[in-house]
Amino acid sequence: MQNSEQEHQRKLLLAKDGEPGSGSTRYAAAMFFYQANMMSAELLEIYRRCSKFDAEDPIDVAKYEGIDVSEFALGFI
Amino acid sequence: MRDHTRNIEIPADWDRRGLPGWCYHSPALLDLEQSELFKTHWQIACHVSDVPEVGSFLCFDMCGERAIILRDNTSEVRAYLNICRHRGSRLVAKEQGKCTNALVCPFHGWVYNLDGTLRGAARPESFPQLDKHEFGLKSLEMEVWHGFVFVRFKPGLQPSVAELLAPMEQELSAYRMAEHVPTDGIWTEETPVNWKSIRDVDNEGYHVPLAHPALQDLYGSTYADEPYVDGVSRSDGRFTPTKGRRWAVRNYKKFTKPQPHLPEHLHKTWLYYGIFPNAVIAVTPETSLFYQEFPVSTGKSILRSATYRNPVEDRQQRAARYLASRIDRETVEEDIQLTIWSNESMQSEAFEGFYLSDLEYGVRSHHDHLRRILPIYNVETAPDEDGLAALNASMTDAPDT
Repeated sequence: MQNSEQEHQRKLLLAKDGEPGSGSTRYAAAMFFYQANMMSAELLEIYRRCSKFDAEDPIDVAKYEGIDVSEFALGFI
Repeated sequence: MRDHTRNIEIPADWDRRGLPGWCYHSPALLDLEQSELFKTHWQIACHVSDVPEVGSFLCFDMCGERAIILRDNTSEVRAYLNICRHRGSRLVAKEQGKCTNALVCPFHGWVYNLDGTLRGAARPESFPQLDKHEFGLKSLEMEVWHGFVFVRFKPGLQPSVAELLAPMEQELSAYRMAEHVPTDGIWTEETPVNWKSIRDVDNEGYHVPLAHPALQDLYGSTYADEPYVDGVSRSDGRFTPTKGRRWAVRNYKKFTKPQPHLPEHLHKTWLYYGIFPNAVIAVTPETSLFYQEFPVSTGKSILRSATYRNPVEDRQQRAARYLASRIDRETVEEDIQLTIWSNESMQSEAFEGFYLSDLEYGVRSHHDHLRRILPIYNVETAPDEDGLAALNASMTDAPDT
């Protein structure tokens, strides 16, 4: 059961690639889920690295680098 | 109506001198001015309409300090230092914009909620647990007055903004400035003069008939200044009944029309209220605006200004506003030249200082306000730079003689 803030942050985590500012929006949302013990430090770090690149999909980058996204990102998204 | 309780009498035998010339090019004095004047006095950062939505922000830099004005998740306007708690980086690098979710430091990626609390440090596993309040953004003292957002970087002697600007309250409340909206955003320009040379020009209307033909055409000899009293000065000009000889003035007088929310005596008036030490809020029937100056160095300053308008305006009012801005722009360019001439006099060993007209008493009243804050201005010859701050402190502590 997700609360409304989680739902709001989930939408922000899925901010559309390429939208101006979407990289930092996704990273800020990722930080929310990390603090809620719902995201690993490794995956948060991918979001941080992608935060200045609005066109970069963090999940693609994480998969490319072999970081497990299944427990959080895939099921969540 | 204006506040008639203010004592605006010009004394019979007033000291017509200005500040000593050394005050305009002393780095040690500038350090004191930045610390004891600019940071301890209320500064206009923006208008609430510059941050219209949740997440809207505006950055305001002054004298080495950095502020961010932000509308939070509850639509409250807040002011923070624009400083990341990690390494002090500028947290927001853009001058103005909107953040969707939170503020992300561009240096390492610390994340802050819009209420200023820390959401989390980058690479959080590399830190001990961080308290979100202890490591949150530093709030800045802030007060909103009729829509204008004032901030103060250090505690100071001035009362609240509402108390300070009480003499302006009754007259300016008619303009409904809190409802105004932006026109062209924040304008800034660097100018090669000491900040006081800008204020010295702006604090008197003696030069208007000669230096500002458009203003003269607009309100001519009706223009009048009231000196600074308790940190506030006032000037007004009422439109002359002539048609106007200059294109912008002629058409402005033609297009400006009574604003229904204004009392009749303000239908054809431009008003200026000076706010010590470095700002003015001005109103025309169509607009409200602020302008201010900040020192960059002893010989360099930043001019900063923004104009706001009534939220609803028709084509005629829009045309009048455009024409008013033309008159204003022309006036600013003329004033910039005057400030350069005034400032360069201070470098000349042959210049013996101001000898002011009764029409320039506003300049003296501003200088007297300055002297009360920093008595070192009373020293006629340049003191030793290294000992200037200590000398000022000793004069501050000394009992009046």
